[in-house]
Amino acid sequence: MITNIESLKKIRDQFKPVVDFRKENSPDATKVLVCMGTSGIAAGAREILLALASEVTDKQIHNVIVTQTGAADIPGAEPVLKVAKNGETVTYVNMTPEKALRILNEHVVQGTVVSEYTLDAANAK
Amino acid sequence: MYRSHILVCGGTGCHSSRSAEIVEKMQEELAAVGLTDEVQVVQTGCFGLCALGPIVIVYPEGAFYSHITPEDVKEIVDEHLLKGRIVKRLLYQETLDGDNIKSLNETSFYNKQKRIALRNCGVINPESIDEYIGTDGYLALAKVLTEMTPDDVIDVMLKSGLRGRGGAGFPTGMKWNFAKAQPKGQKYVCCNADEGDPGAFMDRSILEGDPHAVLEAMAIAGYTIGANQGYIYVRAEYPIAVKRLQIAINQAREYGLLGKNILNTGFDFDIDLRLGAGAFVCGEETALMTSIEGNRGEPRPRPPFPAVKGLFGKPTILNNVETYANVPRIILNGADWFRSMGTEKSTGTKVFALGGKIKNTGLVEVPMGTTMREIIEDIGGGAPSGKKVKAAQTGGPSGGCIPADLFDTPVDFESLQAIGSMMGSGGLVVMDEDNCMVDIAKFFLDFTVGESCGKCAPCRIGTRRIYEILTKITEGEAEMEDLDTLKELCMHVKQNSLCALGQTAPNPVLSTMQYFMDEYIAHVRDKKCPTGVCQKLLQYVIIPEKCTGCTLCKRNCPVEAIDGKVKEKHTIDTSKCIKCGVCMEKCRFGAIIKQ
Ligand SMILES: Cc1cc2nc3c(=O)[nH]c(=O)nc-3n(C[C@H](O)[C@H](O)[C@H](O)COP(=O)(O)O)c2cc1C
Repeated sequence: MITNIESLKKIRDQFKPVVDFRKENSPDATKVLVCMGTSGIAAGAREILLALASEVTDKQIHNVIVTQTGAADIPGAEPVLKVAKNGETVTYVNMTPEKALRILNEHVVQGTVVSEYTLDAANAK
Repeated sequence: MYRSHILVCGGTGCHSSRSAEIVEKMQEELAAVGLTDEVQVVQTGCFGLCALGPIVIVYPEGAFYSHITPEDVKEIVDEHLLKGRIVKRLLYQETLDGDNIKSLNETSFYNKQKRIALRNCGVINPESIDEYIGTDGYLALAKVLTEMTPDDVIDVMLKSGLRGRGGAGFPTGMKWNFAKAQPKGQKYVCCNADEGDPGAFMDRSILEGDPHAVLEAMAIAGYTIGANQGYIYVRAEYPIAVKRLQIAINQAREYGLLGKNILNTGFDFDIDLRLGAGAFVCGEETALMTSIEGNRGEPRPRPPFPAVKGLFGKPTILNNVETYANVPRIILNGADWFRSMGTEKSTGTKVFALGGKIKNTGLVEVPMGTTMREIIEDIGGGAPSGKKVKAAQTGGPSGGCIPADLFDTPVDFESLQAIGSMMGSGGLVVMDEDNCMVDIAKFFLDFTVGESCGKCAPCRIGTRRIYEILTKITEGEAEMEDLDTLKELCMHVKQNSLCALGQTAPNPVLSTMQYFMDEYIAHVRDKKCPTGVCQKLLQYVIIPEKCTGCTLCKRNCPVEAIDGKVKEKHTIDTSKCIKCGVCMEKCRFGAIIKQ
């Protein structure tokens, strides 16, 4: 039973993210892509995807699409995460949910690439 | 929290091509790979692009899958949901852009659209009041009840310029004001969900996709005019709409958004459904109310208007489904916002049901004032065969045929009327070169003859006489004088019928006579149907030069009307021929033509 506007708004706030999730993405949205090939899934890509997806919903981070993509084809680098922002794609390797959340916060939200986790950094070693 | 949502269209069109099975299969397959907790499957209302159904959209990617069968489901789950690879072969090809997918808003079907009445169709689960509330649902009602007086509401409605979407285009705010001005006492709010126009399915889609929007608007109307009871008159032939409406009403009652003392404001309002049996005339307002009262659905003279003396003799307002669907947004976003769309006298948007000879059959919502050409060619994609579009019929059996050279006419109430048609409820049937305009007029008259309730003579007898003259014309038995009689009769029926059914029934005839007189004359004077539709005026003939004497046509003719020996020229005996066309279909040499 809803007896006042406040409780109506409470339901609204709870379900707004659900329906907003189904809005058409704007072309300039940042894409966070988790590579979900068989080896990626085996290495824990699913957990990373879920961690990112719930963070984006919980913190109501807008204009970001957390989604999955096919296998990365980089041996020994799984799980792999790609961030596509402003026309540039950065590839991150050997991800964990913690690292992924840091990237979400620093790269996606604040705009600073987390260079220590990138593929380039791994190759340089 | 779900990381992905799968939206499956559960509108009537997709439903009849097995979308319910798709939902079931989707859930099975997701369970099989352990994704049930991560991926949500939602059955929504109509997405609009019915020609591509059944449609499945997967978010967050916004992948738009078309023509999906239950057999495709496993591939979508295994590839897309599990491994993250979009199944390109099942995508709506227009959204495929190399390796990327384009947003729907970039496709030609959607990019000129502006979805207000259809805003939640294909987005929310119509059986979830929570999701409706998630779109600011019932906040307009809350605002009205707590912050606005009935006069404030009327003021906003008047300023918005909203006009009835059910046909006549009467200003909604004015109608509400009349009912409000009546002395306090029992009043009613009714919703017209009869939708009898052949080819129109926008009201049905709104009810199937966003039923709460209509309930909320009716409650707002109830508060405004001082009514505590609403009725939705919906045809029983819309079982999905009826079911979802009933679910919505039950949910709203459970939440206390219908019933007594809504939101603790002392306002009581409840809604009940009344099922119609599918008579076209019951969409007419006075007939509709008579039918709700339990009597035979016949119109009665106005005045008194329903706002003064309507249902059960009490002040009543009746609005169309689409009209109501606009109301909550107008309250929340304001009259100026609404006025910013459309034209000066026809504000907002209008939903059209595209049908007939058009590629993208479906539902579109465009700002008023969009041209016919934009709707038919840009959004609708023109005729599927690549043939030339000849005309479009708007307004259903009450409307008229608009020839292609007038397609730059903006669609709004006044412009359509000025060219002999009308907005009607928004059915838009497209015709190409293969359609005979006399035959089209006859089709609509056949409909009105059957649907005339019989109460008044001009409509009951007049429409039948019109139909008979049209039949004579299509059978090659009419004389030129008959065309004059036809016109005169049409004017007579228009001027003397009791309700708008009869008053508008001749429109399809008058408009085709106005724009396609040459086709009428060809039938009458030359005894020819230029498009080859009218059977009685046709002859199948064999072109001797092309006939090889293969005997195939002869062997397939069901009435032995074809004569000829092997390797000799064949001929058709027109006195025996029943014009079934089998011979022409079977001939491998193109030697048989109709003329
Ligand atoms: C024969 C006939 C059939 C009608 N059918 C419908 C209908 O199916 N739906 C509808 O909304 N209005 C229909 N109307 C128009 C209604 O009489 C009425 O004008 C309308 O429901 C008012 O709502 P509005 O002001 O919101 O458009 C019909 C009118 C006639 C004469």
